Amino acid sequence: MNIPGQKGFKVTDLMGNHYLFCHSYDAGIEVVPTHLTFVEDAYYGRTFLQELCELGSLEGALRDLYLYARSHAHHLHQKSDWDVLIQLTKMLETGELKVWLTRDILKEHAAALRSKDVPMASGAATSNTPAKPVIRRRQAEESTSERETSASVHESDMSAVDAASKAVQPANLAEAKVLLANRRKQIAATGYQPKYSDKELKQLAEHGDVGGERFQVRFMEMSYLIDRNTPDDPLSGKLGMVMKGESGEGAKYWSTSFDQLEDADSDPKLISEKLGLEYDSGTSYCLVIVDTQKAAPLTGVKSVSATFNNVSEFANTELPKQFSKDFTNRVMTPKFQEFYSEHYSAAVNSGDLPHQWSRDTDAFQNYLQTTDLPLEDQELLITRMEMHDRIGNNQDYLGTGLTKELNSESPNSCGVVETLNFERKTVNLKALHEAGAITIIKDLEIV
Amino acid sequence: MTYIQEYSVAASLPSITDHNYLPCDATEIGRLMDTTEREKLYVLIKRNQYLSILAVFRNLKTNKYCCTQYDFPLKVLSWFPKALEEFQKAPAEGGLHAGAMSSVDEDVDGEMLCVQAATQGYYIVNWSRQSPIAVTTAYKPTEISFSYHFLYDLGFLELWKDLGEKYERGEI
Repeated sequence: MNIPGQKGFKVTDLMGNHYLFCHSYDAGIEVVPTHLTFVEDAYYGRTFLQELCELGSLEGALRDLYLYARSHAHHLHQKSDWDVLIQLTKMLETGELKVWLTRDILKEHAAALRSKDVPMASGAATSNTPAKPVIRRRQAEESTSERETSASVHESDMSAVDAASKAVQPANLAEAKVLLANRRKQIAATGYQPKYSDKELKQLAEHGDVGGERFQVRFMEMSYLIDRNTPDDPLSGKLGMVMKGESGEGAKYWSTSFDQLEDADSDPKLISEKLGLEYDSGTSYCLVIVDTQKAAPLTGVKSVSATFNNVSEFANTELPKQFSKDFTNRVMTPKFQEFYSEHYSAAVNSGDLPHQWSRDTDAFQNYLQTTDLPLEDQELLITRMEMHDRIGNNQDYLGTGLTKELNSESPNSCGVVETLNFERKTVNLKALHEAGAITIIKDLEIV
Repeated sequence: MTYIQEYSVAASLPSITDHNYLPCDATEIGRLMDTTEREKLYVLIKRNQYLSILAVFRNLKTNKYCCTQYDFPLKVLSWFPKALEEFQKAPAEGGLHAGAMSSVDEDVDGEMLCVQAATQGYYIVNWSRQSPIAVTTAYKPTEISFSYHFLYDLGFLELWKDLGEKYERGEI
């Protein structure tokens, strides 16, 4: 496991994110190449340290870090907290001190994998608990037992662990933008490489909590930023503008998590292809990054990765009288999906359904009555369309929770874990922006 | 079949099969064409203390006429706009939890109703009436959905609100 190891200074914030600071003189350790490069910018580096430590209660946390980084420091008591902060910022800026976001979740995975009960790379998702970050000081020391446990994990189960170690969770929207900017440099230098393998994506779709990750992204055409009814009102558009994706137009709106998409930077072509969408060079696109901690109280939105299991569970929970477990067990399978798709197409061909985006159950029932299907099957198909109308799992829904990668140069066949989003009222982008719940990257450009 | 029944089901109102030929105890109180998916006419019919909503459309290829009747208590006219407003409240405004898809069932003149979210609109569910599109005798509640476009852009919610106010004033 490529976790920076036995030397360094480890801190954990209250959201459960673990960071390892490592001095260049400890560079002999086995390190991952993905240290946080955004901290090499003076402003972001300082902000990062400040947010991590809560300036009002430094109380030695940064001083301990400083003592680690400057082991021969003298007269530390004569330095103000600010001096210490600036010194550490400079060390980050020059690369003398590097920082990694590590994943203690690996220990959990390793333990669970050992018992053959793969819990999943849900560690890829950080806690959604809003909390001010506060340092808990601890000298880093990866335990021998942890390393031994990791080593004993069966190779075929490693994808969950590897996926967890690759997860990127920004601390805030500003950092998210910086992370993308860094990705752009990386892609320009070495080309695009998908972060997750197909196997890891499948693990994340089925067992992860991509929908529960704090930062979600919405890729859409620039024209959607403004409501067509109020063309003079900036950001009067909504996240809910429908885009036809793998799950079709039926979804409230289509999205994925920041972590799923960040390896494509903000390149509209790479993103389109990862999302399974044809890139149109004549269209201007934008990327909306959503901080769900701030957006959910305003919109009541909930995101669910679009697998058979996850969508079924959501329907069983939120609409239990209509979509019982018995019902979802019967219809949320590839076989029934094929059955639904076949009759949906036939209903379009017969002229009962007006087009392939229809969710008209009256009309579908009219079509079904012309068939010789058993009545129970007809009833099941009507209820399936009612689920389609509410949940968005349309006739083309695959149930894998994954988009198709269209980039022919990618080694992957899957793009990202896709999520369906459920909300009771669409709030316009202006309100979300004013609440600090979104940041928008406009006029995306190809790397 | 798969629906869970919690309440008793009222007998169906006599079926209206053509919106141009209403029974003598039925009065049209409003109508509006929905063009969200295709031309589909909604006709609101007062039948004593009940409301029948007729959804009328034609098969695009055969031109076959179709008319589906959805029954509610007449009080749904004043109940729905308020229930919808309450349902739309965000968690920060004291509304339902994030991801909630259904309001709590309410007794509206003896029938149990709720509002639910659809991908592109809202449902009104009447748990106390059998669905007009049920094809078996198994319990299936009456559920009718209206798109955002129909409700907000085409003015159906405004029409509904006007009728609700008239109902409250005893004018309907």
